[in-house]
Amino acid sequence: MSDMTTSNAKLEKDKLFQSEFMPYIDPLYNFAYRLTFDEDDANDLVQETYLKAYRFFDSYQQGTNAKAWLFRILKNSFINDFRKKSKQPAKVDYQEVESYYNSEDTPQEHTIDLRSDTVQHMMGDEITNALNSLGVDFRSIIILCDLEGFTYEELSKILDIPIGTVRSRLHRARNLLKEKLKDYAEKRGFKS
Amino acid sequence: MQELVGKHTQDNSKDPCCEDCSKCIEIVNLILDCEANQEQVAFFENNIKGCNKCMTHHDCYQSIVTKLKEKQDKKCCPDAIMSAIKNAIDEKA
Repeated sequence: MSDMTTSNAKLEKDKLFQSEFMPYIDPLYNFAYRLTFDEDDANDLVQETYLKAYRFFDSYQQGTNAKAWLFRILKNSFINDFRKKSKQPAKVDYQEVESYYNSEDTPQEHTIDLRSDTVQHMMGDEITNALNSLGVDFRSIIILCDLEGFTYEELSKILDIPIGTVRSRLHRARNLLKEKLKDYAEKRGFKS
Repeated sequence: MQELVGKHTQDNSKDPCCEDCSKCIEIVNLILDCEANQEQVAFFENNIKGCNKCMTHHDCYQSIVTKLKEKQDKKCCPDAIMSAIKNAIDEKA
């Protein structure tokens, strides 16, 4: 292949990469920040994600779900590489993990009662803090589903889990979030 | 998901609403996420809507998501990061 052809191919690839992937940089950055809680770490994670996406661009099928593909790369980078060298190790709530793994793949029987008007009286900060206090698996699924609006099928691909597990993990994550908010509401004297 | 509705209806034939709320709440979650099929939507509309516990879950979770979205501090990726990515890509021959 001549130099000119190689250069044209690279130009074409870069153009395609820009148009398919760069529009998602802000949502990716927000996801990275919510995983790491640190701006520098989020910056590094986003850069790493884009460079990996570029490296493996040939395996990406044009016109398919670029956003989900990028989120999947970011999530894998965070889990596999990034968390090891991160300044702030991920916090593990062992009680959450224990109840999660002990209950296999079926949703917990109980659900937490918390009234909608109680939630409406809360400050948004309390909800954000409750979300941030969840373990990374539960936090990720709520962010991706409720804030980023991914479908169950997309979540299944991003998180590399079957759709049934998406459902049950989401169910548990929402229950845990409500449990934390219920504790908060009770401490503050709200009727839950 | 057919199974989810079928099983629930069968198990609770006398009182279709919420002898087993955990199944209903799975359907409520599907409704919240726009992932329910027609049968599940119909089940929700006919049965679950009459159950306080399930409706509380539905309304409560909707409020949580609304609050989360309102409070969501959407950050923009710093320009320096975009430039660093573009430069790194340009350098790759």
